[in-house]
Amino acid sequence: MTIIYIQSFTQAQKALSYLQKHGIRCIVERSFGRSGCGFALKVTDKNASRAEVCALLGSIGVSCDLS
Amino acid sequence: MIYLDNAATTFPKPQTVYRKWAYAMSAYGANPGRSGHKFSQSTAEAVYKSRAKCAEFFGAQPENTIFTMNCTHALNFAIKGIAENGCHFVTSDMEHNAAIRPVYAAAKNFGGSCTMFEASADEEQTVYNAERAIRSETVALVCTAASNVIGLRTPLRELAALCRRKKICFIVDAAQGAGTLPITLKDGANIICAAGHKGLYGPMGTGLLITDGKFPLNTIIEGGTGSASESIVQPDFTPDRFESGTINTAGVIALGEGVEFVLQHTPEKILAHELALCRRFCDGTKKIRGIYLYNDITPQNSEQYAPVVSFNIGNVPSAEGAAMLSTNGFYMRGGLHCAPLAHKKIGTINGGTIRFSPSVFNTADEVERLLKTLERISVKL
Repeated sequence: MTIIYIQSFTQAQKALSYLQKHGIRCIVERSFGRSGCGFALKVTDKNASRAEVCALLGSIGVSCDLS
Repeated sequence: MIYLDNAATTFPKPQTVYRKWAYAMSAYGANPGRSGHKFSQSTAEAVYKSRAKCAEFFGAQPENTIFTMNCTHALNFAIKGIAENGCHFVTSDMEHNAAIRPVYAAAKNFGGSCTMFEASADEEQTVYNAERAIRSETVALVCTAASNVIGLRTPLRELAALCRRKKICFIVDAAQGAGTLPITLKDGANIICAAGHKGLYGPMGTGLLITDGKFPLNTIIEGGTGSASESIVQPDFTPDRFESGTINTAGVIALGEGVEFVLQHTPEKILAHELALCRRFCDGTKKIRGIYLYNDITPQNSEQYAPVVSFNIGNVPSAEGAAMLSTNGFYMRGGLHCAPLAHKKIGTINGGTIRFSPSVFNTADEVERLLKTLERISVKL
């Protein structure tokens, strides 16, 4: 499963909405990781690669860099 | 009761807003974006949905759509956030205290200054006056979309073009325009500050700071955001950067319903309805002895105005006039409407004016009843 860590809930939810529009299943969960309190975008769609997901997210200004 | 004080806050709100607010109070009762449990998660999702709706309305990105307590709160964020040492602001002579007070406070605190330009019914003249006020150290032009006293609109697109040319930030006080006038980031504003509880038909205690992100803002309030909590430094990403502390969750969720209501009815149709009521009011009062109008909205000049009319009943001080109308069941505001500059301009700084400000829910019949009441009152004067 691809997990993208995102600091802001708004960015995570924006990412989720965008991926879902592209037919990619995912969920947002609260997380606590290297960058402190934040959110994990879990891509549950096995057909979606990390590269594909990050490229899509990059196009809406959401970075995969924290992951 | 006939409520015509919608420039202060709209009443009633759409039924969908009442229902959503009541529903949100129980269904979305956890703190959004703080905890990982489903209750908090679903509340945060509902907040996001409202945020995305507001963002769409103003042509912004959801993360650049910041919930505030009101328009004043948003203006303080924008004005004090962009201030720097020796900075200079430009504002019009029609501004509400919500804009002018933070401008003066920021200028004072940062050893800067402010120049006020004359807003005119002649749009070209207004832009010319604004350009003459801009200096090399000017950081922002802060301007109302429309006067809350006489409804005079400012040429936002032209002022936006001027600000782009001068490479300064254009901050629009949209308290009186959001929901009726075309005010989006696409129209050229860099920052839009709006009340949620006026033309957007949301609950009181809601406001919006909309930014295109081109002018980074310092914070004036810091605190818990539920994000990047390992750091004692305020996050640099929005909206978290400007949303410290728990937000008015039920309020902002209901605000989304208000915006949806406006989208469904369309700002253009709402504006046309309200201006038609203003025109009838102006036309009717001209036939009543002793009623003095400070802005006369006619079919020929409607495009220059937001739906607000200021008037007085003879020499009666505006507060007394408003009280007389209140006794007769018409609720309007008298006084200075927190905009002393506009009153200085129209010569009513001593007595103020009574303000007629309809909403989408007012009817032509209500205006006729008001006119009859004014006729009755004026005979007694």
